[in-house]
Amino acid sequence: MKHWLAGIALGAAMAAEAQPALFVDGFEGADPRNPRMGAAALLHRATFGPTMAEIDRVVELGPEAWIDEQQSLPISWTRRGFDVLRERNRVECLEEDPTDPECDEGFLLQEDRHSVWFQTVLTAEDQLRHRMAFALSQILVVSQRDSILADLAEPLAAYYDMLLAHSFGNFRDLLEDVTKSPVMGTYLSHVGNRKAVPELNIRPDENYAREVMQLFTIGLNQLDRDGTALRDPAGLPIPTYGQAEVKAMARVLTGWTFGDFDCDDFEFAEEGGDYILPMAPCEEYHDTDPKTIINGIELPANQTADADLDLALDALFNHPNVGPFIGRRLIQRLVTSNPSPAYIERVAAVFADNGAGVRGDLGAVAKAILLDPEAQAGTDGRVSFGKLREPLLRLTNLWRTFDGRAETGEYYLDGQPEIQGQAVLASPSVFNFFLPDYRPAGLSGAGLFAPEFQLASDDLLTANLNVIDITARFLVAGSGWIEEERESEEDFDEFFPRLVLIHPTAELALGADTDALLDRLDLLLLTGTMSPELRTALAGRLAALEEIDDPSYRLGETLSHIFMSPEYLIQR
Amino acid sequence: MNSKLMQRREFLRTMMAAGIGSAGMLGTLGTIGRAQAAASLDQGGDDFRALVTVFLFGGSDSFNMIVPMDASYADYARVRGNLAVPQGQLLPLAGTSFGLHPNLVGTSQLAAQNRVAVGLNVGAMVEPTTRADFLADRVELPPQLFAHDHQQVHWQTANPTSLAREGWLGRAVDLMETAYADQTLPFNISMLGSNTLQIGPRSVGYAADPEGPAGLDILGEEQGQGPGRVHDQMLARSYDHPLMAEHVNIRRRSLDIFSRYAQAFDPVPQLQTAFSPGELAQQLLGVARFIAVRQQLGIRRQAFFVGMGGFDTHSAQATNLPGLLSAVDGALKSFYDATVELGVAEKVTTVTLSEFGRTLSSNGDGTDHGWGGHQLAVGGAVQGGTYGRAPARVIEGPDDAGEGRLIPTTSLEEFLTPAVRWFGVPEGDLDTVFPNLRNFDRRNLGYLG
Repeated sequence: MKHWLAGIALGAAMAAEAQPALFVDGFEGADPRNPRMGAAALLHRATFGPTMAEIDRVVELGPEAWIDEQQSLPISWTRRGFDVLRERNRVECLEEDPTDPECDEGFLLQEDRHSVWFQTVLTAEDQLRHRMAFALSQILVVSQRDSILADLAEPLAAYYDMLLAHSFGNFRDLLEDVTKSPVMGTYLSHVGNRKAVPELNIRPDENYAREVMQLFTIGLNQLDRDGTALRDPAGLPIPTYGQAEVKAMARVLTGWTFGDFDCDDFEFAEEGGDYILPMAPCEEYHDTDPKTIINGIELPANQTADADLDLALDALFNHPNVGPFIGRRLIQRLVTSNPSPAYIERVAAVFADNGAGVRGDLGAVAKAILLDPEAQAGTDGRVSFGKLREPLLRLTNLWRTFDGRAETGEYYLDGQPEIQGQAVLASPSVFNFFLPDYRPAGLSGAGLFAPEFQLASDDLLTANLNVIDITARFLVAGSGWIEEERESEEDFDEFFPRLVLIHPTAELALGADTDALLDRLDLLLLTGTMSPELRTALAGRLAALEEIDDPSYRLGETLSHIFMSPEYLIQR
Repeated sequence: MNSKLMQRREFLRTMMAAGIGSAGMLGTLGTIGRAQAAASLDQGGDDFRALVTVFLFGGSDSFNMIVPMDASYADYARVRGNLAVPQGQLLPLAGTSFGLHPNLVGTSQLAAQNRVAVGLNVGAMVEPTTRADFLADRVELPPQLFAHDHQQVHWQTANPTSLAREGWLGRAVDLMETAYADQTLPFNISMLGSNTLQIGPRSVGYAADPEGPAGLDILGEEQGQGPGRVHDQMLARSYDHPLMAEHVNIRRRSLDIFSRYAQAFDPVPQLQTAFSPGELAQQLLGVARFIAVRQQLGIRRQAFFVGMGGFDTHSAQATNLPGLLSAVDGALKSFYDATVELGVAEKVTTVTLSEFGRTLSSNGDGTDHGWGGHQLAVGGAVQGGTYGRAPARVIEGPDDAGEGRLIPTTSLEEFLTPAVRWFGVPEGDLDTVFPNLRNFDRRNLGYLG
């Protein structure tokens, strides 16, 4: 913990020294988009929130080398923080009831998992890897809202770490590990899936078989290389598979059980097993008849469960849909809700071949998405460019950019995921928090998609604005409001160390220099695009607040206004 | 289990909500707009109706919810194998040859009062479809049968091939605008956030928490002054970016509706009827609260969307389904009791929806995506009984599309049209609400007269 705090303090000191001005010698005039602005825009897409130090790093290296550097950094696993929490929970549990046998080995709750996730993504150096893992967690979905997974925080963290391991790896490997994950096997019920027993009228489970095709690889309809739907002569979309292929795939996926199970226990999968070890095959439960899967591909008779799975995953992986299908989803998570077909096609081409003849290189795909000319051009290229920021990413932006931390180093939030509608690996169903083709009523005329608006219903919209408002405006280190609470709340000293406060040291150091402050916030939060209207309103409000002797509140309120402004909420 | 963590959560809640007046962040109401809330409104109680839609997400296994008690129980038991509900455990569904899953205690009581109608084997179709039609591929079928998202859309739009993502409930209320022109608050209210069902050509509905509409803390008590001023200035601007403009539109509209509801929900209306803490029960409690404030706001028609997930019982169905059914049963019974308490039992009709039924056959310990399934209509105006034709529960039988995915014998249009007509859509507009209704014979199953 000491080490972690020291790192933060160092980062803040570096940020304070960084030049607040937007323009860097030698760059102005060369590019209408100042390189610091471009760097900030890249960091909004590729990290959990820009810092001045990271902006400097991007400017120093250039975007491509910065991405290369990010991809070469060691992995910051989320599970590394768990031993400490498990021990703490064990001690707290025994304090409550020294005889409770459930305390024995310690345990982890979903809120512990969320806390560690925040801790990791806010401080890890390998930011882009975590953004990719977070994006993948919304495509290859598992969720704590499942009745069994609700109690399995550590396996869910292991699943996230598995996504992390493959974030710049190969999609084929990722697909295999996801398929063999006991967490996925539980979520989409292929753990314990068995070949048909006709006399009992039992046939293989179709759940994962269907969703691995519909949601994780190829989608429902055949796509052109640019992601547009292919049409038959009658103008109708052409399905990628039918019920027959779902049934064949369900048979492929028979014979898998928990990695620690004897095959004698195969029929007791419902009792649960090891949720972290990959699942293992039990051949006597595997359907060995020949199968015809997508695109008429034949799997011969008498293959092992592993051999069948290998061929089936190869078939999915090599389907021409995967590049545009997965590419579009990743572009939507990182850059823009409405990529042009040409953008999708360029990314899909990199998925098909990374330049060295390798298909499925996710590191190359991430780079292609972030460096694409359409991403660089922003709204200069397409008026609708951009996306509504995900609620969770607004919060990480606030906390990463302005050093949000509790004295304990933990991040416990009330009411996740219900209040925000979003928390990592906590979507309502395998269809994620929002659909790629969701559009609010007001955008249907324009033909635009805006997935994140699915979380902008009246209730969640308001709740999310309130969360960011209060977190930015009041939970600022040193604010007078905190001091008032310290005096009036009896339990304050006990709980204060767990409150996440932002520490905007560099911004407070600017004192009453409103212009310098707004320049700095413009760059960090709006990539230099702050409208004159917002700037005037903020300057006016700061002037009106001068009579209040509470610089932390003044700053916090200014941040709140920016985080609630339409120009911030739509990331461009 | 771990009270320290509980305390920590409560504390954070307190900390985050303290110092900002009565406008807490957790869905409670601020004071904004009290002045605008109309002080005197006409009493709309004489002509009030509410239609409540309960969506069971995941595809509910209604074949284990409503089970034949007559000779066809043998077919059911044979096809369901290890998932069959023992005949002796079934509760009576009064006046019918069917029984109810043993956990549907409240539903059985309501059925004894003749308040429960069952639509038999209801599902998404474009036109009447037989097994022969299906096998020969000679009728138009809904796109992507058996896929959750597409079938959820079909159940909400009843017009799945249209590019306009309008829901039948959105269309229904827009067709009532003229007749109820005095009602300026939205007819459609969701307790489950965004949905397609309630989007109409002109209206989009309003989403609220069970506690009522939520306001923005930053607007606080100094309306037009203080921190809220910057917020209002930014919302008053026009934006060229289409996503910004849409976000602002949603926010302006949401704040306006909130301000008109604020006074009626301060304090939140209390009911005597007990509701369980479950998600669906709490949503229906929220519905009851919205019904309770209707008169002071001059509301004569309300349509609600509530629902719960978890019905995609591919595995551990025997373990999980009973709890799901208990949750639905308890919520429906509490809600019916609440309408009695509010004196509107005959003015509120509740219908269930679900994207599909499930396979009659088992995958070992669960069921897979099916097609038709039974649905309920509950309320004081409902004439109890079963409506539509019961399907043959036989694999490769006359109603089977394969593995016991039953071809619907009642279209969702046939099941829902009586409710929409009762709600107030004129006869001549029913085909606009349900564009495929004309393809089916039965325009009135009769469960609402």
